[in-house]
Amino acid sequence: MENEKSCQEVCTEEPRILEEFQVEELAIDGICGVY
Amino acid sequence: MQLHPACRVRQEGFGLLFYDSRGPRLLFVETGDLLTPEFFSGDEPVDNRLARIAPASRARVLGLLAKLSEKGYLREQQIC
Amino acid sequence: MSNRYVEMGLKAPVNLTWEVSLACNLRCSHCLSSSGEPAHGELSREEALDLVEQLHRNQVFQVNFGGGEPFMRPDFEEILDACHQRGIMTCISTNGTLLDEARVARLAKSRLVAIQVSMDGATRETCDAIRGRGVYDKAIEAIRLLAATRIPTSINTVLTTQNAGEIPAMYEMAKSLGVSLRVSRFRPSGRGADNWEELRPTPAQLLAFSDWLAKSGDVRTGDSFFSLTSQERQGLGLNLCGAAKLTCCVGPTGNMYPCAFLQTDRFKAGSLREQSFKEIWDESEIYESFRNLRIHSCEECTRFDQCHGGCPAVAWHLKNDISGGDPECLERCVTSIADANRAAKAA
Repeated sequence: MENEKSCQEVCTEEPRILEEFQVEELAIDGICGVY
Repeated sequence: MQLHPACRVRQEGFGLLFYDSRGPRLLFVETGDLLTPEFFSGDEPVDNRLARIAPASRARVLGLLAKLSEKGYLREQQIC
Repeated sequence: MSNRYVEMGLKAPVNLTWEVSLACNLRCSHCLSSSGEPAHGELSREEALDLVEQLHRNQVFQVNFGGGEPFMRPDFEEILDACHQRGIMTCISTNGTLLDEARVARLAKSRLVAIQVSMDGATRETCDAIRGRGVYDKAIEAIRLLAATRIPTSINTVLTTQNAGEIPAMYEMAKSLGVSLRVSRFRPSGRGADNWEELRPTPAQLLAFSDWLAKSGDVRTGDSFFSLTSQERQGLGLNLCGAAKLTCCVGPTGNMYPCAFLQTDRFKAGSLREQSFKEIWDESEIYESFRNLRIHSCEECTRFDQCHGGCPAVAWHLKNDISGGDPECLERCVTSIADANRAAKAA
């Protein structure tokens, strides 16, 4: 009974899906190369 | 679907690195080895390119394309 | 915004500075490279074109050309064309004196070139005092020619004590000419080191400039002022040194360095006559040391996240310590002024 209950708890848990790619933007301006 | 002419992309260990000379700015995208720069070149329709992506990843790739388009990294497409 | 992707290390620089020659027809008093005569053994045309091919294979996005005066090299336009044919973007730092209508028309054929013309004052008097008699007028003429094309054009000004009061006027001048303004940091390298005490901006001038920059979002700084960056300008550029992480420098003879302001034997990363570009980028111990650089003395500062210790090149030139922390950062400017005020009161 307890095993069934814990199985239910596990099975009803929503899988976590990574929906988006990690994206980061960085503004630059020549990186000290335009002087 | 192509990159805007002012933009470039190359592969890095974490995924893709985009460069936009108009900013200038860099965009780091953690796609791992899922996408290559070639995905963003050529005249092939997007659907065909997506068909080569694992089904479980297509939604994420579409989301990325939307983000790239919104940020101006993709060339404007003429709709006939 | 984290810098974690930068810290992870890239397989090639994003851009690099290439000083194609030390030859220059001017003798500016602040020149970082002490330009004038060509260096002994500068890269040949073939070596230069081979480097372009290597940069292409390594997918470097952009080359920032400087010198000396790049157009003093007879083959410079050929080097540019080689870059553009491979899709490499370029930005040329020029004094403008060798730009005529024909040359500008040739340059305008490419969509991959940007040009910045150096000027160091809003007035003929201030500019020519640093750059030489007649340079102001020639630079303005070059800017007018460029502004009539679609070439992205900017004026570049190195901030000195002599022109610090003219920066707002330079901004207006750039606007009236239809170009943008970039203000770069003066560093004690080359003739800049020889004339450092005479030309360096004072702490008060640096602070005033930082305040003005905070209100001037469309003024560029070439990422050179991150040690002064106010909160308002966060997100407009780098907040750390990009040497050996995002960028590097190629000197006229094919030596590679972390940046243009550390072109000395002590910081030579390698020679393109002995190794490939890729080998030097991947294996240089000098580059490795810059990638691992930690400026511990600055870590407790409230501004650390905004500058990460500032410019190591200036720290090296002024304190002989690459990891000593930027001597001209915002905090140190504020402290320096406070100390001076206290001393004045006590006197």
